[in-house]
Amino acid sequence: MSSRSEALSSYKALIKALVRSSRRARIAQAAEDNKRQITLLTYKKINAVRQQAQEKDAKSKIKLIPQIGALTKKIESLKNQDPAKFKKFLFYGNVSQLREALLRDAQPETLIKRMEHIRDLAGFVQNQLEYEQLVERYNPGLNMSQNENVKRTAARVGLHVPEN
Amino acid sequence: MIKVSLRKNTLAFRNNGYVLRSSLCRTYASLSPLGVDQTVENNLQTETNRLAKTFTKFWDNVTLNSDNDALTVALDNKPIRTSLGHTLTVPKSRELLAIMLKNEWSSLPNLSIKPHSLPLTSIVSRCIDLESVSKPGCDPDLVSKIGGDRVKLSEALLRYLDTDTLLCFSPHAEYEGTLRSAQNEMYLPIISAIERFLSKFSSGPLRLQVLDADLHGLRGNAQSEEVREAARKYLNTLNLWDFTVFEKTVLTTKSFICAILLLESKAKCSSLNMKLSMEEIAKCATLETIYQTDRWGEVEDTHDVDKRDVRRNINAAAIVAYEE
Repeated sequence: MSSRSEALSSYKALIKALVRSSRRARIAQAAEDNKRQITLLTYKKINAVRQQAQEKDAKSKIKLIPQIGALTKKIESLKNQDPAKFKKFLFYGNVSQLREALLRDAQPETLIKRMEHIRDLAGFVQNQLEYEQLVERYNPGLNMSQNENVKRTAARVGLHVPEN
Repeated sequence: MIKVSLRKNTLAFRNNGYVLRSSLCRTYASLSPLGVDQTVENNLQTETNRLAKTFTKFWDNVTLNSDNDALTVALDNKPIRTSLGHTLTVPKSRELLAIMLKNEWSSLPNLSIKPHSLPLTSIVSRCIDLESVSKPGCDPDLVSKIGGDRVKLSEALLRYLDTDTLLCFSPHAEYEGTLRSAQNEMYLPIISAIERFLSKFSSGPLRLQVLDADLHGLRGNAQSEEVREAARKYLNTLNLWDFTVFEKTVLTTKSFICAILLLESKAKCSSLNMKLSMEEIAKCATLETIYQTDRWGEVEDTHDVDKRDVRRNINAAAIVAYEE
């Protein structure tokens, strides 16, 4: 009985660690996606405005207005989105596969071994996450983008990188 | 034609020179250190290589493709390949490992990927590459890419048994004797269990030579030839996956004994009647550091990072070692 509750608690620890480590990655991925979307939409909007300026006919000019408005709205809503607040990132997406593998029928000895093994899985995910966080904390330049890097290098000698 | 034969001559000459030199040296001095990445840089178009060169994420979906008895990790349906170009395939008996591999690749943030972000993949791809290189008739170039064949790697690993972390005892005077008594309490039962374990690979009972700072002072340590022979025999009984796990554990813990403990605690039927959890193994390997940080405090960016590093590597090794 005690081994069962132990297995359950290490399973909980595993899921918790998986959620934590995947959440961090998924937020970063969503933020990157967001940025790409915004760039794309801004480009579309610029094109639409340009087209509007070129049109001579007032009617077709008016036709483009709702399109531009929709694009602006979309860009605004994307800009206001905060991936860190997404509720779906609080769940681990891949539980069913993991649970299936953990609950597969086997010899009793194998099952005992497998239940003990869950603790090591949890230990790995947790320590890997903490290790990565620490490395990032102590080496802030590690994940810097090229633009940011150039900006800071320039700032060190009192220069500013021109906007755009 | 002339060019080719000339090159052959120089190559042969070089080989001769090398043999001459290494036969002059003491055997262990000619061995290159383990753990230094000696894989020769190549331009094979594999995912791991691409990742190593560009450090950027280039896929959307990670899947596990199963066929027959094996699971292959695939990025956008293209199988991941190891640095020598083999597919990253795991037998079905290691399904949990495959799931963890998939998780490792899908939980990478796309900003930039560092070598330390894929510990499981690095162990598994070494397993696969070592397996392919160990097949008879393999190209010697490939063998040197992976850092030597099994015999060479075993010899390098044996050096860790001489100065094993678990065989070095600190003086009674340090830390008011608390460290020494903790070492006695933890290491002595393990040492006698390992002596019994290794004796099975030898004709008679074996004794491991320990390094007691009170008795021996500051000097090196060496095991007897019988112990080395038994340890060599033990290493030869391991399959290549276990061998790679063993290597990884030795390099992490700086201890041959810890690696035996880890493999035996993950083995289906262990002949070592001692079972340690991964946390206990990590504690054994870092016992002295624990007492040092207790007394002098933790140094930022060193002790805290190392602590996680040891544990993530030991647990990763355990995950690869586990088989159903």
